[in-house]
Amino acid sequence: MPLSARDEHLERVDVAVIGAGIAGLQAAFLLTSLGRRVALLDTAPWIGGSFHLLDRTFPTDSCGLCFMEAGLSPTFCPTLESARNPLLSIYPLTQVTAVEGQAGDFRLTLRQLPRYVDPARCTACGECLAVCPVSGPSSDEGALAPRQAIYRPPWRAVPRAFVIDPTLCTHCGACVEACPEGAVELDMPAQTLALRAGAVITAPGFEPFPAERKGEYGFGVLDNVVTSLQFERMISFSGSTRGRLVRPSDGRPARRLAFISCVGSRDVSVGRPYCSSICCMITAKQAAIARELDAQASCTVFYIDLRAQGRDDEYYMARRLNAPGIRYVRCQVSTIKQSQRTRDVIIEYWDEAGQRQEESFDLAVLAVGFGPPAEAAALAQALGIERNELGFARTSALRPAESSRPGVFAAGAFREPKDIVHSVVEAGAAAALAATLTPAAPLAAEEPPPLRPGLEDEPPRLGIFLGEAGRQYAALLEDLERRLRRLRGVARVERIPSLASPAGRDALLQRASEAGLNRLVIVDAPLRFAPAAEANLGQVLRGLGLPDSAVELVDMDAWPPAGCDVPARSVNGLWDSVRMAAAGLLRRPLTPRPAITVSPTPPAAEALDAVVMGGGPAGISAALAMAELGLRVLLVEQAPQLGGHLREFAGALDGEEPAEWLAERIQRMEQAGVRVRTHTAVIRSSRQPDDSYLLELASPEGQEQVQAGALVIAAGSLPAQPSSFSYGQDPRVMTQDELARRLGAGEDPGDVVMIQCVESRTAERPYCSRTCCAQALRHALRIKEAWPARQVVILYRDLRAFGHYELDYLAARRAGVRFIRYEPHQPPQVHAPTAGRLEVEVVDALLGRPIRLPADSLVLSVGAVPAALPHWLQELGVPVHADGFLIPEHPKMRPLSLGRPGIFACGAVLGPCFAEEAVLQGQAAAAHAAAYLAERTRRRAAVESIAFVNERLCSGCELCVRACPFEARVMNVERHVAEVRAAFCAGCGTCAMVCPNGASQQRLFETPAVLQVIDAALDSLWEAPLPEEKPC
Amino acid sequence: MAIQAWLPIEGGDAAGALRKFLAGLLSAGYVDALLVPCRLVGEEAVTPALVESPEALEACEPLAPVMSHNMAVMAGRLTVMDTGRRVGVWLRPCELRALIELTKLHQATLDHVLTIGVDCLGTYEVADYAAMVRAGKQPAELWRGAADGEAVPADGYVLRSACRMCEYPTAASADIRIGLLGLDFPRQVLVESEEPLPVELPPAEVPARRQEVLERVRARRTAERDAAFAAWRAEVPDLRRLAERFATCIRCHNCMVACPICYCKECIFRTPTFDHEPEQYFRWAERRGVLRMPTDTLLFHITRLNHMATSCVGCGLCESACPSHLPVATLFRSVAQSVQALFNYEAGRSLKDELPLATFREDELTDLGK
Repeated sequence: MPLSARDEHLERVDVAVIGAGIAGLQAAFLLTSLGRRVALLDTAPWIGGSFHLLDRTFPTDSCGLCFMEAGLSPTFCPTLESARNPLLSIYPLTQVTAVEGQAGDFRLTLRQLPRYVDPARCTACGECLAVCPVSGPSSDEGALAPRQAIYRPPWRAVPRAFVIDPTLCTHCGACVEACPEGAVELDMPAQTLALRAGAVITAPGFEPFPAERKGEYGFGVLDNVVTSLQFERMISFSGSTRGRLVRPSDGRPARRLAFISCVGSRDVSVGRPYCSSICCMITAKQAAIARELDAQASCTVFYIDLRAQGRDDEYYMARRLNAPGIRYVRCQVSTIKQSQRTRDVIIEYWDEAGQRQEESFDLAVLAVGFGPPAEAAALAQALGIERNELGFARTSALRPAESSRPGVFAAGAFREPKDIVHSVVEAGAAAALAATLTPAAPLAAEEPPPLRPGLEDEPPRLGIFLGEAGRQYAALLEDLERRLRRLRGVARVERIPSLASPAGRDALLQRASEAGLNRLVIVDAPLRFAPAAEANLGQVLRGLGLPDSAVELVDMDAWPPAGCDVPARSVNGLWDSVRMAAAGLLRRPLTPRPAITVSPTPPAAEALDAVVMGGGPAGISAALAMAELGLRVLLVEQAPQLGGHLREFAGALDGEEPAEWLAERIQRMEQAGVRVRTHTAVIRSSRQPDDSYLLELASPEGQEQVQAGALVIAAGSLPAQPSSFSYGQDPRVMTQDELARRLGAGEDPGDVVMIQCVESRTAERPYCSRTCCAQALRHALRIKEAWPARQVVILYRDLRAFGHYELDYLAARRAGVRFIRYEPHQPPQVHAPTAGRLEVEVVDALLGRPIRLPADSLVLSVGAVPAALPHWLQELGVPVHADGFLIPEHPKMRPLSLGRPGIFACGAVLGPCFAEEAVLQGQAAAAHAAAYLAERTRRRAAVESIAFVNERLCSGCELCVRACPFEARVMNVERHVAEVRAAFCAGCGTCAMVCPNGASQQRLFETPAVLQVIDAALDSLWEAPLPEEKPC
Repeated sequence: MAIQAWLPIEGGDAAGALRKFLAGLLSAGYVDALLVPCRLVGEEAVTPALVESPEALEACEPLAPVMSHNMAVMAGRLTVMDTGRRVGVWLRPCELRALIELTKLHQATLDHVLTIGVDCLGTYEVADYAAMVRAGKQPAELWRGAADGEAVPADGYVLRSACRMCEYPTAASADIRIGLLGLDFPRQVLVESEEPLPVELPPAEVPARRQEVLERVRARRTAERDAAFAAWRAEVPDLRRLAERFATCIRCHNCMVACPICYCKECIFRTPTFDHEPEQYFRWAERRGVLRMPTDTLLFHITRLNHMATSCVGCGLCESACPSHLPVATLFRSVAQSVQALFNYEAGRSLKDELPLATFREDELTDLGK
């Protein structure tokens, strides 16, 4: 039903993204890279979701979120970049109350709750904090760091205006009077808004399990019991204890730490039957960081199964497991008490030998599980999408990004608890599908405005402008201005209104042009938070005929020092920043950026946008999504037919028939114009000067060449070949895949013993293959369903039933499947007599004694090994791990990029994964490849700090050639000097760093200017600092 | 190992036998030319020379214990661009190691080079060598201690300090290796080669003693090195002491010119980068009250150190060239040792080791910044 005429005037975006956490932001960035307009909605007062709370996340133990951003601008921080993104509109404090219409044309009704502070007027000065009389527990820190009714959002939050918590506010009006800008409006009403969008992505995230519901662990009652989220804030330098490990009861050092796993996970009694998947990793990280913060800390982790989430996480976990001071105890904690005298936490548990144990600790950390957000029910209802029995968005195994309503996509923890890596991938998949519903032209490269004639020959004339950004900066500016008057080489020092205002813009333009200035230092409140200021500055520069490089911006706020979440205002720091900026500008030549011309490679071969290598679920998903985004795609598969490992599945996969899915995708690929070549291999590939790849294909019919702008590697993995347990010698010994075939044919396997971790988590293959536990559970359930009398025993090391697969584990135990744990140093032994039944002997790790299990079939859960990769991949510089899988550019933020322009990967070639994940990765890789192709030209034009070589000085040592991560350096062999391939140069400056004599230079960062900046920085050594107010 | 052979020696003239061996390589066409130390102008000076004719090898001084230049630099001059000619280069251990570094830095290629590495007992300063010759002494008598690995300099002379603490008595990775230590010198000279040689030589069985002597030499010199480093580090614990110790540097750049690793076509300290505007000098003087001229002297050394420390082979020519007799070699080598250890890199060990500056390993230097 088309929407009525009354909606014609509504703001129209291509995609509405609900939830501005990591998944929502990633989806939004990819979509804007593809030229789509996006509305980004969140119920919180600011965007960023949970990651304002996280300093360091696994597997890198760093924040690194600034790597996430897919677009063009110099990446700084995803929330800040969102504020600057012209295609993105942000709706904080906003709920979706209804969605009408259909895919391609939805009408969203929104309810925006009041902030009670006008973001346009609030300067974040903090006067209101001094007068607000009420406080209560903080939503992030719990009771550990209370918060006032009016409060400052986290540093990096957008919008950064203060917020009033209506549940605490008493309407006393003190803040209204205290606010110098009149920004507080206690009677601000909620608003109803509406918006039109072609597609909707929902990624509202998760909510931690309320730990007080697990009464026996005493959270909220005992003094020294905290949740993992509170502990996360304790170990954060901006959190409640500013990175110090202390006992909440008395503030004394917390050295003996206990971590309790699965609190509100895998627990039917509290209605959380599923595994939250990420808590084991969070605990491993927290224990390691605790040890880093205090070398004397000892960490004890009480756990049931260690669930590292696959290949990379297994490596991470292994490092933590063997770290000194960290002890893992496999058990279930029965209760937590506290000593009334010492307030120590006393943990009571039954160890594996069946003995009751009691240990005391300074602090217990409950690794809480994660559930759907509180608003999930209302949101699902408003969106008209179904939820599954666990309360998460219902999606299917092979259409994992699609909700039950066409045009509405789901990503991230709203589908099930998951880590950043998986959330980022899912966001990419949702973005790809949403973009196919909302066609748009990619943005064209902006022509740089013309410079004023003769600029290059003008002597430098520098002006310093101080923006009047708010009362809180007044004293700072006075001190600064006094000092600036003494600075040499400065033609003007002036005060102007803030550049965020039109008055500031006009004043700057008028005074700079009066004074004939050609270099400007602008000191203002952080302009990055104010997109208007950036636009104003652009207008000023165009008016003056100056390039961007004629300006240095200096933030009045310094980055908060460690242990402080309030921006510092340091007059000495600001003075240093300003004189460094001035010193560099005075020496900076204002030459136009050399034009980079890239002659297109002569069409020696058919030109395509993308080539996908590998026709499994990942490759098919990538190829189809790219073709539906309008790209010309070739899909190459070595096998005679498409489908890959998906063909091995017997029967349904979580309710979907793989064969039907495959047939439907193949048909859709045909409609979308994907060229498919089976029986074909890519035998050679080389990067062309125009940044495309020339590929040589070989098939039984002969060889041919094609050229493509992007490559997607989806070569998959293979099941390992077991070399033990009489496999290959006795037909009763088989792999899970082989069992699947027999079950598919209706063969009764008899009594079955399954052995997990065969050829996985071994010395030779140290990684976890991720899928084998779930596969074993599915097969065990199938056997029990068809032949209930059959005995099924699963021998395992850690039963890794992630997420909803835990329900299979539960069902299997209820159906009588036996689970016996073995230790890796005591692997099961198999006796396979020619006459008589098989017999498996295993030492039960729980009982500590051997038991014998007769069986008709022995099923080996073999791990996955990487498919053989073509040698040219490594020649192109694509990194391959020692285990044979590809290494992504950044495990969290660029999990599908390979560090080479235009080359992406998806599926099991990056490590063993479920079919569902292969599909998601394929679709996400499509989004990344399409974004890369759309931005290629603009990206090239955006690199200002391009490198160049002074040939007179170049000794031809090739250090720069080897150090350049972008292949932008080549040797000119005849002349024995290095040359720059400008089209490849990303302006990173590594070449300038390794060059010993300055032959390698970088535009805008040439050595003479840099030396001046350093010298200006050193000036402070020779003068007495001004007195400072301490920020915190 | 393909070949181990004795060089036939007549009348105890090991140098003569080596000349003959080299002439054999040249006349057999095994190499097109030889880069060897020769006495060309006067008796006092032995310098690298490029020899095309076998007869000219009469002037060759293979065992003269003096090193006027690092041969690696000369080899680089000949090979930085391919001429198609094959040249044999006579190299002491430090020269071979420098050549390997320069090859990695693309200032030389080994494609058409036959490296001939020779055992080394150490060298005299150029001036000392000349003085000894003038005084009628035989500097090559140093080799009398070769059998025991004992370098006993002539009375009143000492070996260069870099040689005294050099723990590399052999040129282990050369194509042809000339063994002199731990053998019956001058009656025995060992020739080792992976490839067949164009001259017939009687096969040799290397006495076990050689290995023992080499080990002893290494141990002794390592101890000497460590003592020198320890003394230096105690003497110069901080930047202030370093500045004081280098106060007599006249900034002649000799150390840079002599250094085989300083390969820059033009050092950044000879470009106008450090010629500041007059205004700048006054500003600095104003800031501190007084400004030493020329400026940037310590910065020159630290920058040079920063550039060559990963590849320093410890040949010590920098110190030999210093007119102020500053212990530059000890400074550079002691820092180089720490830096190379940091990257598990040993300058000159192998062509296969990647230069630390040109390699990125995600897991290295993880302690930094903590």
